[in-house]
Parts: sequence; structure tokens; C-alpha cells
Amino acid sequence: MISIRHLCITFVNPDGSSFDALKDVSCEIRKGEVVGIIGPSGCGKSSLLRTINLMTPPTSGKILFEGENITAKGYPINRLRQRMGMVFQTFNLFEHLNVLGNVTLGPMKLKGVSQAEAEREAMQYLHQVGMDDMSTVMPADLSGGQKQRVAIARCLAMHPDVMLFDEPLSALDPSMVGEVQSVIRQLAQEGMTMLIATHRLKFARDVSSRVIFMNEGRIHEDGTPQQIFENPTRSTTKAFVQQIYKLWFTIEEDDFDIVGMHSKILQFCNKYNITDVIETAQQIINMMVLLVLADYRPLTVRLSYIEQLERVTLDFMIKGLSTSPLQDEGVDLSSLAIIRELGKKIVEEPTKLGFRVKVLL
Amino acid sequence: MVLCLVGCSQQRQQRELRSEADLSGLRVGVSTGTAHDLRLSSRTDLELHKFNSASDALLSLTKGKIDVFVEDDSSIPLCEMKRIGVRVAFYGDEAFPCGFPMRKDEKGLCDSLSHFIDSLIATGEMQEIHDRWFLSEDPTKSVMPDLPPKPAGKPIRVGSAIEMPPVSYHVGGVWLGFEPELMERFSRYAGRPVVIEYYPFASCPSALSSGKIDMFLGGVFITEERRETMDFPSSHFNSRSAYFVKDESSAVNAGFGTRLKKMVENNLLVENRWRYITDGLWETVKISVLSILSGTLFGAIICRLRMSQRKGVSRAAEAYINIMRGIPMLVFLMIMFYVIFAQAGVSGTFVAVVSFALIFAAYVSEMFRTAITAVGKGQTEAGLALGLTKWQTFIHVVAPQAVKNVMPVYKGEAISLLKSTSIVGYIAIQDLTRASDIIRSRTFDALFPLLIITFIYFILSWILGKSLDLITRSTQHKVPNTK
Repeated sequence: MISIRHLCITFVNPDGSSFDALKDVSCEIRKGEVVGIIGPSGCGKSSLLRTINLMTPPTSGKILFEGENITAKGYPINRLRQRMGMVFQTFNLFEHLNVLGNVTLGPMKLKGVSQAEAEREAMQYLHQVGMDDMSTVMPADLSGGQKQRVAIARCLAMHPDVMLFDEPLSALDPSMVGEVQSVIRQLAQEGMTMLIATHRLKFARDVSSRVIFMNEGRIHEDGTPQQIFENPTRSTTKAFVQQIYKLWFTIEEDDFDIVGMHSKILQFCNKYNITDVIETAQQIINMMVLLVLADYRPLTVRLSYIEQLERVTLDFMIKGLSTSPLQDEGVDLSSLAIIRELGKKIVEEPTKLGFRVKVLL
Repeated sequence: MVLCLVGCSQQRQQRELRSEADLSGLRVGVSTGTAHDLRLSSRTDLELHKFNSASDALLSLTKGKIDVFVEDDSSIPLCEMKRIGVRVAFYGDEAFPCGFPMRKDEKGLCDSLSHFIDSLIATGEMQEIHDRWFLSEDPTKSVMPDLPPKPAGKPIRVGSAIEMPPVSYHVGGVWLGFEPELMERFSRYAGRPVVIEYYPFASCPSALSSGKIDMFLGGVFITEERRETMDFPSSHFNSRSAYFVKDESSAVNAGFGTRLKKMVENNLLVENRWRYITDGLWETVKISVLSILSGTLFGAIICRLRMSQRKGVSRAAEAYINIMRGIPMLVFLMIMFYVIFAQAGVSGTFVAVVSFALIFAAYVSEMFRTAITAVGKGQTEAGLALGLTKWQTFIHVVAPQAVKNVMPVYKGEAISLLKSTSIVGYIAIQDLTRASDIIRSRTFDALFPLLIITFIYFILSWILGKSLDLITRSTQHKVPNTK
């Protein structure tokens, strides 16, 4: 249905510097697919969505919509947009029209539908999104979730072939996300072709038939939700979908700034709201670095937090080692016993580069 | 302090004036630009008040705001003095020759008029004409003598700087008075028709030099200074200065009802003077409505240019806005009439409409821009994403919201323009304000005509505001109502 070929977008700032929002992006969207586009902020997911209906014209590359080259010069963009509904993060309801007026404007002005017919049909769509009892309310008097549902009805009234959702949930209070999510989910079940840029991974996973992971203006991975979320092939995808945050230290010498390290750990734990593990982590690190693994230098310490699994781990890695340092003769057994007591589990495993001792907290 | 002031003013009134030396320490009123103004400006021992018209000065005199008003003896008809409540304290000794100011390059016309005046003086006819107007008991009842029919041909265009019996005034569109009669007689002598039009004294020199008029009336003193820029034919009469003071004996003690009836009669009914008001009202409405309409249209174009993506276009529009906003309206109007459209044969009303529209456009274009910018970018995006073209988005989405945003300030600006049109008198248009000036100059009743036009301006502003509200409402989309 939509073929995106070698698409690039470069924004030039007023000061002359430029930023590549999309770098050579290609993909195919088939009819009936629900494509969730995920990725960190600034990865280009919004840009990709906005180029498809040419709200942001591409710098190079082309887009085919049902075989027609819509990026060709002189292509009737407004007729294309009538077939592609767009739902915005900030709703953008027409402030001067009430709910019904928002939904009927398009059909009346663009399709020549009579007012009575447009209103009759609008009420059906408003009913579908659960807003039919508020048809005379002005947008200013609606909640965010209600606005977004009206915005969806406004798109539906144009009978679009595709719907583009640009972060449809991001500007909503947590309490209102559900009502909008269920409307989108219902549309997906009815077979509407949709592209949804979102940073809500759970939502993307539930609603999509296909997930595209973008990073730094490129498509990094493209597959079913199961593939992307459970067996991502690339480490960037894995880190993103599992929401893994890491903190690294490499201890080369004994005069290492251990106080500086602890203050960084403190900041890290505060940032991700895992303050309950600070004390344990610091004790384990101290005993490992100063006692148990005192002979191993350079020693790399990694604190990781996997948000999705709510799991905090400490890794101690030594390059070029093939056997576990905990099995050495003369190892500080009393300290090791305390560590075993503090952590939930200790895993000793060899890696490509050396040996790793993993402590689960 | 207050006691001292009261004491002073009483003392001022009690002293009887006999000569110019007695003016010392008094508040003296003059009409701006007259010979009295020039002569008394050098006196440091008195307090000089300059007025734009004799009727304003007379009102100040009767209300006790000035002690003496110095004007030509010909400026106020004898019969009116009693009614106004002023008298002449004394006359100046000097006689000032008066003439008709003309352009330097009109030697032929000037010589011809000189010859005509000289011959009238020689035959004694001049004195006869003079006396008929000056010694008339009631100049408003005087009529022109029967003259041969008007000749055809290229008209001699004459401005009249005053509208006051007995020198030059008009009743029901016909110019009367000493000087208009001379002009009509000269017309037959020269074989060319004469067209007389009112121009404020301050505008007359510009009108003359730009060729709008060939000469002007108004008992203008011939001075050496004026001879440097203008030509004068032979003097046709001499004027003395008269020193008017308040006439305490003529205090009117009629009841309020009687006084009001007298006022209405004098200001509106006599000579059908209400016609000045209705004609002036029509002129004011015409200029205001046309200026607002064309100014709004042009303002929209300027706004479009100002919002253009192309730097050059946007800068040019910005420059236009800054220039127009920096020029005082009156100055711009005078420049347009006496310089830019000086030679073009267009009416003053047209020039006024163009001038006001150009200035109005500069102001409202910035209002439009602010109002359009205030409509969020998301609104445009939503319109475009729905499939509307840029123009449809503007018309159906942005404009209705912008109109709502701009209306309060736009309404103020339109009403302000309506009131600004009161300056068109400077380019010889008889609008509402001029109508009150004309009536005032005839009745010397400053208050009543002013109150009438104030009330009319107020009603006009109110109607304008209401109509703009109605227009705003009609541009807003009907809100669909369905259960």
C-alpha cells in the first residue's frame, strides 16, 4: 500500500547547522497492517510519520502510495491527505467549532456532503468513540482524552485508507490513556491500516501487528511484536525494549576515586527511582573491589537496571580470564559469604572477552 | 492664592480700555496668523491666547477665559454683538489695506483684477458695495444685486478663508458678502465664471501654491512679508482693528426653556442650518465607511506581504507600516491633497478616503498579523492534514479564529478612524465637524453645535461598533445543533 524508498530528511537550522532526522529509510506498509513505530526521543519516528502525508516533505527519496509516486512534483497533496487521517499528540481540534462541527467540516467542505448527511454520519463516528452525547460541547471544555477521541472521529469521517497516529497518548493524563487506547485497539480489530508512533512500549506491543524500532534516523529492526520485544537481534533494540540503563566504571589502579564512584551510583539510583538498592549495591561493590577481587586489575564494574523486569544487577568483569576468580585459592571467603547473603543470586560465567561475576540484587 | 486670583480677574474687568497700552497684564485673544497675532506676539507684558476661529475666541471672551479679543472691525456684524454679549471697547488708529492673495505667476489675472478694483474705486461704486454689506442691519437677510448671467469658460477658483458676514459667508450654498459680490462682478468683467470654496485659513497658502485655487478671500491684510511669497492686486478696502470686551449689560436672563428654544432656532432652524449638519453627516459617513472598507482590504494585502517567507517582500511591507505609522494623519492628509494629488483633478473626498485608507491599512495589517499568529500552528496542521488546501485552511480554520481575536482592537481602530475624519475640514471638505464650525461662525454659539455633533459622533461610533459585531458574528461558523 505504501512503499517508502531511501527516504532522507535534513533539517537546516537558522544558524546553518543541519540535522538528519531520517537517514535512508525504506520500508513497505501493507493494507490492514497496524505498525507500531518505537524508538528513543529524536529517533525520527515522528518525522517518518509526518513525511508519509507530506506534512514534512522529504529531502530525498520517494514514497509510493498504491503505486503512485506522491513525492513527484505537482502531485495533489490535499487529495492524498483526504485518504490519510492524522491524529496529533496535541489533538489540534478546531477551537472555533464544537465537537460536531469539528467532525463535519471535512466531509462538508471537501466531499460536498450536505450538512444533514454529514451530521448524521458524524454522530455515528462520535458514537463509535463514545462522544455522541457531547456533540455540542466546545473543544475548550473537553478533557484531553475526550479531545483525542473527537480527533479520531474527525479522521474517520473522511473515510481514510490509512491513519497516522503521531504520539496519540503522550499529552494525556495517565487516567485518560485507557479510553483512547481502547478506541485505537477497536480500530485495529476492524482492520484499519494504521501507523502509530509511540513511546508506550506495552501499547505498541499489544495493538500492533508489526513493530518498527528506529534509532538515530534509521530503522534498526522491523518485525512482529514477539520478535522485537522477546528476541531482539540487535543490542540497541534489546536495550530499548527492555529499557536497560547502565552505569560503568573501570578500576585500573588501587588509587581509584571510590568516593566519586559512590556519588555517581547514588545519582543513578535516584534518577531511576531504585533508591532501595543503594546501600546493598555500595556494600557489595566495596567488598568485591577492595577485598574479594582486590588482585584483579583492571576490573570493570557495571550497574544495570532493567525497567521492564524491575531487575538491578551488578557485573564485575575481568578481561582475559577464563576461570571464575571466586574459585581461587585464598579468596576472602568471609566477605564472599556476606555478599551471598546480600545479593539474591551470584552467577559466574565466561564471556567473549574474559570472565564475569554477576550479582543479582 | 485663590483670593488673589479672584481679585486679579475682578480688577481686570473693572478697568476701562482706551488704547493698546491698556492691554498690559491682560489675557488677549487673537486669531492665529492674523496681523493682530503678528503685532501682539512681540509684547511681553500681556498673555497672548491664539485661537483657530473667531467663534472660539468669542466663547472664551464671554466665559471670562480671556479679557480682550482683537480682530478686524469687519469680522463681527454689529447686529450680532448684542446677541453674543460683546462690545467694542475701542478701535485701533491704524488702517490696514486688505487684498486678495494670488500666486506670483498669475501676473495677467492680478493686473486685470487691479484694473477692475481701481475703476470701481474711481467711480465710487466700491464704497456703495462696501456700505451695502457693512452697514446692513442684518447681513444674513442681504442678497446679491442682480447681475448679468454667469459667463462660461475656464473658472477662476477662489478659496474663502472665512465664513462670516459681512465679508464672506454663504447661505444655502450661495456665497454672499462684500468680497463674493466683488468676485461675481469681476467674473462678468473678466468673462470667466468664479467658483468659491471654503478653505481653512491655515490651508489657504498651500491650496494657492499647489494650484487648487487662484486667490483667496477673507479680508487678508497686505503685509511686506506676505508680498514676498504672494502677489496682491490693488487693495479693495481698509480694515481697522477692533478690541472686543465682554458686554456686562447684555447678560441674558431668560429661562432655560426660552434659551434652549432660542438656541435650537438659531443653530438649526434659521436659514435651514440643519442642512449643514445632515450634509456634513453624510460626508463623514461616506468617508469613514469607504476608508474602513478599502483600508481593511489593503491592510489584508499588507499583512499577507508582511508574513511572506521572502525577506525582501516582508521588509518592504514592514517599512511601509513603520513609515505610515510615523506620519501624523493631518500632515499626511495635507501632503496628499496639496502635493501628491495637487494637479490631479480628483475630489477632496477621494483624497481623504485614499489617505485614511493608507494609514488605516498600516495599523490594521499589524493587528491582523498578530491575530493570525495567535491562532496556533496546530490548527493549520490539522486543517492541512484533513486535506484542506492552504487557502481552505485559512478560510475555514484560521480566519474565523483570527477574526475573533482581532475584533476588539479592530473595532477600536475603526471608531478611532471615524473620529479622525474630523480633520478633513483642512482640505475643504464639509464634514460633520466643519458643519458645526460653519454654524458656530454664524451664530457665535460655540456650545450648542458642539454638543450636537458630539452626540452624533457618539451615535455613529455606537452604530459602527454594533455593525462590526454583527459582521463578526456572521463570519463565525454556525454551530451545528443536534441532539
